[in-house]
Amino acid sequence: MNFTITLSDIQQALLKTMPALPRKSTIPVLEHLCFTAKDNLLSIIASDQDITIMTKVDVTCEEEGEVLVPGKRFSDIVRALGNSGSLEFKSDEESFNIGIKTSFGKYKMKGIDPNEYLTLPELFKSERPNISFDGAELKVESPEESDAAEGDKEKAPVIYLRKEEACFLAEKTSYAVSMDEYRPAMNGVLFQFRGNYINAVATDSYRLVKASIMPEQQNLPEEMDVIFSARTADLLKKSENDIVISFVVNREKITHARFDVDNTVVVSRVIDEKFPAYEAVIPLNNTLFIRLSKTELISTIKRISIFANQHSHQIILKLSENEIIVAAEDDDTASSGSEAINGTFNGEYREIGFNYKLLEELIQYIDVDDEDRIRFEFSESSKAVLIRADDDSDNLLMILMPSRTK
Amino acid sequence: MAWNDIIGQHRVKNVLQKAIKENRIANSYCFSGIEGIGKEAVAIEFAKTVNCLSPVNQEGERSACGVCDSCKQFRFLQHPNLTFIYSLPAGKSSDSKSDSSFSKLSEEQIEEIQAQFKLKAKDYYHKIAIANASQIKIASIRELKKSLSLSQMQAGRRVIIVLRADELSKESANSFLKTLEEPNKDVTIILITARQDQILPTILSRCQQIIFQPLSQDELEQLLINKQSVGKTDAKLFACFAQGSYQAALEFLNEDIKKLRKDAVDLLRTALRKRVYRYELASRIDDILASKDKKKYIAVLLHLLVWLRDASTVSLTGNINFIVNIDQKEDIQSFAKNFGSKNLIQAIELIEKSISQVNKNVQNQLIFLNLFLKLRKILLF
Repeated sequence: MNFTITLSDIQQALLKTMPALPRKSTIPVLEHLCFTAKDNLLSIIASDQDITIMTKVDVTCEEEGEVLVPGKRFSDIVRALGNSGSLEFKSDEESFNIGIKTSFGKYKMKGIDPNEYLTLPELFKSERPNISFDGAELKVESPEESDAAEGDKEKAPVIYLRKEEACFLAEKTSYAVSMDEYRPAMNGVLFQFRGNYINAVATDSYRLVKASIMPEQQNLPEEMDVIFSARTADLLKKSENDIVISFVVNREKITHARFDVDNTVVVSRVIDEKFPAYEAVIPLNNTLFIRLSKTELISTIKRISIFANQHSHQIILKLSENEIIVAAEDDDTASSGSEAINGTFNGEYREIGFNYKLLEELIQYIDVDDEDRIRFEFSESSKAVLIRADDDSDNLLMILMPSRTK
Repeated sequence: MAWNDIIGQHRVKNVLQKAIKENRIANSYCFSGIEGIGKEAVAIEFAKTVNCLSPVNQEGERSACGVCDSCKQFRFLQHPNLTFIYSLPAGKSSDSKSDSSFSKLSEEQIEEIQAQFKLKAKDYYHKIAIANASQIKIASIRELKKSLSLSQMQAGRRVIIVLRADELSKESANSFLKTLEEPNKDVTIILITARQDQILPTILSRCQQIIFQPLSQDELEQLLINKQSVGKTDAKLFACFAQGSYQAALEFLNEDIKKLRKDAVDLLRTALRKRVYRYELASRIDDILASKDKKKYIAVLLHLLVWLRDASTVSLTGNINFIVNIDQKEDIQSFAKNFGSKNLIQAIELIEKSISQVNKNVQNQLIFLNLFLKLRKILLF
């Protein structure tokens, strides 16, 4: 194999694939990148068996071929070479010795026989779903001609998501994903496709976040739930462009999700568990409302939390009709703090406690308009509290369990 | 490797074959039996067969085809449906929840592990030995649980093989319970252990237990001849010493078995001298104990035991063909002639007792001196 590529191109390509390269693995091939040069295109594959990423980049190819390249060493040298200039890559088809030539000098390393690489998920073999979006209309080009032979293959849905839509869903939920090893279903973000809208839900049993969008594509699957792992959600969050999501279905079960972004394909396993029935948790018919300013509340929490007990992390909102007081105290160190903030409450005097870490994190993710208002809705001080921007949009709902006050 | 390459263990093979054919594979098995009799080999072969895309039925046995995509990945033991869990060396600091089980290990340690599995892929009977690894860490179990909750990478049955399951730390074992009890669909967990009594009863009771018997002498001989190209007479000798364990036989292979035997017999000869023997006996014992290697002491005692067994066989049956030390016919015959009338059985019992004492860490010098003085009493008086 022999090709030339500009350094900035290869750097970009590596940046995209490296997230899937495990730093340490007991399976040697996983520490390698799979390079395939064909038709002036270089494809680079990295995989840790959970997530597999393939990206394609233009090269000037003199001799086609395939080789496994030591991932860490190669990316280290490419990073150290800087941005300008180009790189000539050569590998021997028999000894798998790799030679790299740049304006600085020559480097050599040992590759591995590509035949030892993993058998990749079938998805890579299939083509990118032919779907495009020109701003007004979604075009799904009929792929029938190309894979008529595979007609018996189960048809899996294809979803087109704008970059902003995908980021919104992933960013607003992924931080609330549970780390609890005994509840694997909650270790990911649930995506619900419901005809014309998509819900993304994450919970760690103390809080629950639900983000919804109405994407521009309207013919979504009617009733489809899939749980993406936290890592997959992180990749969605960092997506650089619009995404085409498709799925591999095996024995009526979704086994992999495939994300196409430009020339990069990410194939990820999904969490094969049942997500808890979260709808029942969302409190409806709330009669009590607190309205206050987001920025003011955050800065108050920052100060007051210094005086909170370091085990319970509890702060207390003392609510009365004309005054809202945020207070915390720690008996162990005999410290306490309290501040009054602007806001309104529509009930009789009561106290409600929260873990300030969870509360602060939640509030930061709320998008507010110029008026900066957020709203807490609840029915009793001991029941779940719904937190949202103080408008009527339903696109981001957060639920937080209050902590017990003395 | 294929099912045919697994020596002996017919009963176990039948049980597993039946489970595969009737599609009644248990969620978790516990393979127990002494070291080095093919427990791991059977487990890997089992995983290979249940994942094979076009298994072949031959002589009533279902085995992997060896050529399909799935079998190809088994060649390097990197099939995504095959996971090994094993002890790892302690990392630099205590493991916290987010760490992967490998992140604390140095490059060299990772390379060592990779090299070990390469050997294992070549020979399923290879024993994975990782320096300083004595505990199955909870991080490994956590990773496993995480990966089991994900959808399958490839169709088939996921097989988790826990090597030396007795090394599960208490925390790991407890965190493993729920997974063992109700694993996801299409998952089989195989615990492998030579020390079943060391496993928590809560773990054991969740597994279907399969007991492996030690290999027979003939099977071991065959294994040594086929795999290690050992000569026939030597194979017999090694097989006899190994007491049913292929692993033990291999360890003997690496040692100079003839020198050990000479040491043992010389010790006995010294102890049986008519007059001045005390000083020399003590110094010979010191020579042997100088190695500070418990395995070697036991090997010496075993040699002595087999020697006496040969002698008593000859003196009781008069037939020289049943002996193990075939190359030492004359010596054994003359020994049998001189001491055949003595209570050789009692002598053998004494040696067996000494071996168990070495294992129990009794002071070695005392064991040896005591043994040989008693042997002298039995054989001379």
